[in-house]
Amino acid sequence: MDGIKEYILSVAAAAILCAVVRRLLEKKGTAGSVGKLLTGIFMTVTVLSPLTGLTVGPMDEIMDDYRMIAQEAVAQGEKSTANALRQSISQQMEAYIIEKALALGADIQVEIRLSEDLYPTPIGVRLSGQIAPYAKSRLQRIIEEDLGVGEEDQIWT
Amino acid sequence: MKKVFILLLLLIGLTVPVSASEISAPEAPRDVQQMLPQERDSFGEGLRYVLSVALEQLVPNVKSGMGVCAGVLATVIILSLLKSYEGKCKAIAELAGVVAISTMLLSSTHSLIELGVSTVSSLSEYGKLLTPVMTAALAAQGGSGSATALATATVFFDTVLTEAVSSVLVPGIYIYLSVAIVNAAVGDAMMKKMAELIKWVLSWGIKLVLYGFTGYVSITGVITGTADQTALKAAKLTFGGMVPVVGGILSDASETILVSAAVVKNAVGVYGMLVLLAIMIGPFIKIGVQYLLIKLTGALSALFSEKATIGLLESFSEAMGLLLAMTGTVCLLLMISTMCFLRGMG
Repeated sequence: MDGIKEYILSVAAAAILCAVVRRLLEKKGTAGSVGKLLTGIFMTVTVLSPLTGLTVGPMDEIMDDYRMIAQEAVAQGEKSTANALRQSISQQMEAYIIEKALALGADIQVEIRLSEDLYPTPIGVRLSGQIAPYAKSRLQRIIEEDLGVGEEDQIWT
Repeated sequence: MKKVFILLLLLIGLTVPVSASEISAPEAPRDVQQMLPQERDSFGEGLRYVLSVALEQLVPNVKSGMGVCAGVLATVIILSLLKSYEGKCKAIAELAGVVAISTMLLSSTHSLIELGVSTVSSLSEYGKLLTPVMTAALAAQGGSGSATALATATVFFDTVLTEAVSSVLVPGIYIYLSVAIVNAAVGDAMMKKMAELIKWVLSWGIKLVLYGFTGYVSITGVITGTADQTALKAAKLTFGGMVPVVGGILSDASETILVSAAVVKNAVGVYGMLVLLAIMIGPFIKIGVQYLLIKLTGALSALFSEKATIGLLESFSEAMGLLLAMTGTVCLLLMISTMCFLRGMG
């Protein structure tokens, strides 16, 4: 960017200088014509010479930096969704089991363990509270059939 | 070094932990908070409120601008009287006129350029706070691909434009005015062409950045948006293969989260756009009023004056025009980006 600024400045300064010189030599006959030619050549060189050394910076590296920043923000957004989803799924599944237990006459506390997938599924259940053996057996079957958590992954305390 | 500083600034903005309930729009700068409406649900209503507050400043701006232009017009009339005398008096009057008009207009032009630069800086700073929040909000809605592409483009083009404003555009405007003043004083065709070239380079530089940004987000938006939609549909299909109760709970939960993420994103986006407008509108009106007043003065001067003076006034109004374009383009770029984030997942 500084290079562009310096280029514009040098072209403008050269233009002002040439204009003043040409104005001074305006009605001087041969000297005026020679002055006009020389200022023209000077302006042409000033305008064209920096363009021969023009280079463009490493765009890939610059874009990579900004892409990294964007990916950080995306990761935060995905993390917020994942946390909210896990919380919602745990609450709904725990509420489902508690509802089924109440229907069987048992009052229990439930803690669901979820997998680490993008869309988590239940992989374990910890249950505690007073429950009759028959009701416990029914509940275990319900948890296995409806939530896919086998008896070996159901921990009763 | 500047690039490292900008990167650090952006990364610091991302270290605050974010949850679905914590995604909120960055607070507006203090000096524009009184321009924002209390109710921010509707963008249309918010826009009307911001404009009505901004337009209250219109009459004072016109009054302050008219003082300078009246002085310029008076100078032009006096010069036209002096030029009626033949000989050296005419040449001296022409040169004195250029000096006098330039001096009167340069002072107000300089303060408006400073206003333009500080507005661009405020817009860019707010944009750098808003973009990560909108990125996280769109990603929370399932649009990770779109969010990455949009955020990368926004940060890149915003940085390029802000750098260009301070390093090229603002010095370029001063250089353009210098060349225009010398052209008015000496009347050289080459100077006139040089001034036109500088103006063309500056205006096309601004347009190029905006066209480049719009083109990039349009193309990548279609590609990444389609990919995100496909990924979401694929995820929904996997629910069907699960145990029915689990699949049902997952489907309901993810639907609820996505809808609430969309609501949060829309609220943040609407507020963000209103803040951007509030930052830009006051200075834009001030510069716009000066632009129109100088144009009017130039038109009235044509009744009394010659080409050199008219050309000089035209150059000053063109400089105001470049300033308007510069300020408006930065705001427009960030607004387009925010609208693309809002549209992200449909």
